[in-house]
Amino acid sequence: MSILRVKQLGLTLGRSRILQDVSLTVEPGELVALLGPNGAGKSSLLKTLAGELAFGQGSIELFGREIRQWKGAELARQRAVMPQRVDVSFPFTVREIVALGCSGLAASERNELIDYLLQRLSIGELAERLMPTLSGGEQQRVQLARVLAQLWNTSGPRLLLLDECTSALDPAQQQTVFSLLRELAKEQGYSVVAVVHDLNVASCYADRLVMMAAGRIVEDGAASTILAPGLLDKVFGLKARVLALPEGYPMVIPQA
Amino acid sequence: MATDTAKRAPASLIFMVLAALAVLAALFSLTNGAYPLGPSDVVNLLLEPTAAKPAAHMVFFDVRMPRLVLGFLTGAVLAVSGTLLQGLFRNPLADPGLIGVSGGAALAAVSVIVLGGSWLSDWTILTGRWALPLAAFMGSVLTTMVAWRVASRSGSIAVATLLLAGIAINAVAGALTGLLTFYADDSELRSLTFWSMGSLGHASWEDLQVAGPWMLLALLLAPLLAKPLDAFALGESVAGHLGFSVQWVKRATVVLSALGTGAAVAVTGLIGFVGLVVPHLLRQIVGAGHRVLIPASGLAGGVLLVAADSLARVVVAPAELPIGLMMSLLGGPFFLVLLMRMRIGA
Repeated sequence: MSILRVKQLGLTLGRSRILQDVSLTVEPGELVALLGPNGAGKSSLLKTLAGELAFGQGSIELFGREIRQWKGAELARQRAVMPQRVDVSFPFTVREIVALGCSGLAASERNELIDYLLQRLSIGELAERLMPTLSGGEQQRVQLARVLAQLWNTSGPRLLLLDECTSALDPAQQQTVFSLLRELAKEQGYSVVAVVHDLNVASCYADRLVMMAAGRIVEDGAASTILAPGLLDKVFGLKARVLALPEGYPMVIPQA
Repeated sequence: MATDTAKRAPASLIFMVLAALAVLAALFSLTNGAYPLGPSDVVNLLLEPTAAKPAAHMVFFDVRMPRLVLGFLTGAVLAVSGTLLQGLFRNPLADPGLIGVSGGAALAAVSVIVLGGSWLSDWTILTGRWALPLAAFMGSVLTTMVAWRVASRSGSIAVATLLLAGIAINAVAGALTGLLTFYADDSELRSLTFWSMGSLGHASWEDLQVAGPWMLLALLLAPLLAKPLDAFALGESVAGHLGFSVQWVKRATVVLSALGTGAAVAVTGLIGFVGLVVPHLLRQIVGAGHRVLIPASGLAGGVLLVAADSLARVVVAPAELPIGLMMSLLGGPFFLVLLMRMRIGA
């Protein structure tokens, strides 16, 4: 059973067509990177998959069931979403924010899970800090911990929808996060759909790259086929060399 | 300046302190007035009500007790509604007045005061002594419903629009109230002025029988919204991702605060500041989590209103200051000092 099956999805907001004829399938244990220039429709696609935007054409099936047939609370046990930006309106502590993802756990289990996740994201010492006092990168990792906590104790198929979840992180932290995501996909069978801007991060960690432009999927496949100089030039207008690394994935070097 | 870790008192301590303050405020309120009743009299009256002098019995059970209970419930409801609406609007400046509750109540109440003998005589005959509170309650609920209608699009509510609609409706209600004031004669002017400054002076068990259940309903159901409102702090869409039924939360929050505040305003008149200041202040002490914040706000709001009401009876005795006036007199400067001391952090 596919975790996610999108067929000929079309989305119109006001008079502008945001997504057209988008079809996409994600299997258990797959880490899929959504790539594309700004305004290509990556975030809109993710929001539609998260049930935030009502779509006009096509269909979305999550875990084998049409998205509109799911109840919010039921779906929340199997699918977690990390938006591009989350503003916290009141001075909550880090622990309280992550706890929002830990419904149904006793206090001791909850605190154990929170501490573990914060540790994994190397912000273990921030648990009692107030959110407004944290840096952007720290806040982003707190939100990620909350999103991971939401699915942590679910058995069975799980789907993470992540919108630029490392945009505020330095390269080392980016590596921490994506290694963790890859581990979850390979060892726990998580499916991950992540909007990624860094082509080399996508190449290094993702099983499949999906390239979008102007509301459509242009290419869908392995890094070696997507990250080709011709396609990068056509989609991004990026002049780049692509090197095949001995590790087995290509690397994109923009040309001066 | 930013604190490294959140310094918070444990919830159990907060509740103990608030409970102690509630007892003190109640004692202050019960022993204070023209008829002398000391703390020992209060204890005796409570333990052996039949042994008391009839006059003491009357003053205690028919005047001071209903006033104490009404004051506490009103303060609690205003503070809890403020907490709920601040959570819903994700803004520490929200209060029950914002969604049109007080504007609508004021318009309806002033209508009854000014037009009760002429255009609205049918209403006053039909409802008798309940003409004013009933109208005020309906006014507050109706204006909230109008704001709600304006803000709803195909079954979902735009929270920002609800806020703006509330502001616009308040402006219209304020203008109409002003128009009525313009036509009022001297005695009507006097009573509508006093109504708009709020009072617990006429508290009776009959008032409580009518308004109490609505206020209790709001107070008892409010804690159910604690978890979803915590999630709302991250925004509506995140609350949805976490599995909360966002539309249901919005509906429940607005209905509870409109019913509770509407019932309170109906019997006490306009009392500002409690709904704004109490949640704001308590958030600094107990943190932003609604599980503790909602009940703590309720207790603190009750204590604050009972204490302010007792003070209002002392400062210009044997007369008394309107409680709404007292609240603003105390609350305004206090809030300003608080703002200047905090500067950062909401």
